[in-house]
Amino acid sequence: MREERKSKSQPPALLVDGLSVAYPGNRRALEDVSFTMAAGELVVVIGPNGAGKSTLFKAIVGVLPFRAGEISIHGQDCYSSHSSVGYVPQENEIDWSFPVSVFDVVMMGRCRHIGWFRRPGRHDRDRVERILKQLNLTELAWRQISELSGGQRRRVFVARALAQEARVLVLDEPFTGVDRAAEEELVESFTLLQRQGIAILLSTHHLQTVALQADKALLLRQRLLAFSSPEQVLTRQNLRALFGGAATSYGTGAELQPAAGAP
Amino acid sequence: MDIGSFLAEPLSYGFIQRGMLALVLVGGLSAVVGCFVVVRGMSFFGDALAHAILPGVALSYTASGGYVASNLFVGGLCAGLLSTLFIARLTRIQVLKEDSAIGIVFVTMFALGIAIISTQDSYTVDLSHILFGSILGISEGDLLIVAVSGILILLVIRLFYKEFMIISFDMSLAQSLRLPLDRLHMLLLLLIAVTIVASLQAVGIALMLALLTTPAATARLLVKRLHHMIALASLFGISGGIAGFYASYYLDIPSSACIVLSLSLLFGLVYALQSGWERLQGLSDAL
Repeated sequence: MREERKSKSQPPALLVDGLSVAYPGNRRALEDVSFTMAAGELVVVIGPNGAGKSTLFKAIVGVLPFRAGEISIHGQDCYSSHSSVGYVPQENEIDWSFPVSVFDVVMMGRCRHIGWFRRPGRHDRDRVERILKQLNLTELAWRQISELSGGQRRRVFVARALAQEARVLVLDEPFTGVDRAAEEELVESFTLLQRQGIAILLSTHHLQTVALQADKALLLRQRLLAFSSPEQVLTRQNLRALFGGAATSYGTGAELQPAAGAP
Repeated sequence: MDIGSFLAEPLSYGFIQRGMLALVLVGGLSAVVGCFVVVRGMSFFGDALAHAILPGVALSYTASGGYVASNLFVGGLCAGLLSTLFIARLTRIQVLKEDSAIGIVFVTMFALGIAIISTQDSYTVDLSHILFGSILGISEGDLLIVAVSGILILLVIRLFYKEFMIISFDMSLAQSLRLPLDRLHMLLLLLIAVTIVASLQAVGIALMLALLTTPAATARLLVKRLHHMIALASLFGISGGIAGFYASYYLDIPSSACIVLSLSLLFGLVYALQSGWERLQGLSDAL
């Protein structure tokens, strides 16, 4: 840590190096994936269903142990710095009937900052209220989470990552089940996070969003197929290789569907 | 008979006072712990654990020569912990789902308990005491155990409240925060086990689940935040305990049945009122 501060080149916000993950039954989920992200960068991961997007995200968050490779956040090994990775899971991974308010969920992000045996103090409450305001959630603070729309639900989890003081935010399919207006609002909140130097990694089917917003696009299908600016990555050729013949053309905003027979 | 003497009459005997106090303590305590059981969807586990403590209770019982006493607590707790560990181990078998693992451990332990008790001459009486509780036989020592374990449980819940909430709501957050998941999970299971054993004499094994789930579920109908749910559930649990006590005294029905039925009645009432209210609101919206 001290040595790194001395060196002039800053370590990347997120470094994934030679990452391989295998599921029981020996099916290779990810093989030798390597890329880096700078602070404040927005990277979009694109791949058909079963390409390993969620697996990659879960490994970065620390939910899934990996077989080989290295993940570090701002130069720290992921095992010592997982509290600085925020995670917005897919909608179906959350029990929305759970008796918690928006405020409660965002406060959960403060858990480690509050410390063992303690309850949230003035400082934590102020901080949560400020974050809610930043993300236009103040009026929804006391709603139970099932009473929110899809876009609002995502923003609550983004707020939680902010409360967590995450430096890398990982979102698994944040635009699924979210209407256009809410999608724009969500993308706006990303800009807010990026300005604070938070690196954002998300997966999506909407190519339109990618083209407008992302700094880089990452094509994934067990292996990393391409990783560069969206203009360079999202060529008809690359997409055809990724999805098989069924890829829609870039820029139409249509949803990508994997080819029949793809995993 | 006026209300005053209706309420006061049963309380003129020391052993009945103890029974009343036990029902109130147990009703409140189980309701608080039960909130975690309900929000985590662990009702089946709770029921299984209550049954799985039988061999431990039976061993303590036969060892003391057929006397329901404080050592039931230790025996029951040991069996409960052992069952929890077995379940955790079997759950790791990948081809088995968790409910199968729980089911196998639960019936095995329960059958073992019945086998142990059957070695006693007073087999049926003993078994019915353990299965359905015997609130009036509760001693001062037992009551003290219930009170002390209750205070300890509430203290632990208070200390680990935010962590328990996180591991119950979102495992991926718990993992990304690097919370000691296994230890917190075991601690929560331990709290449930202690609560069950502490409630054993009041309601018995067979109806234990009602104390854990019914008040919590009733509270969930009415409120939207976990700590509100806990407060309201304990209120329902205590009311159920009191109502069950009086019903048991005057109707001469076992206290376990009375307390469970009053809790169910409360749930039904709240549900009916709530859906009626919602229909009324829907009607006024339509107008």
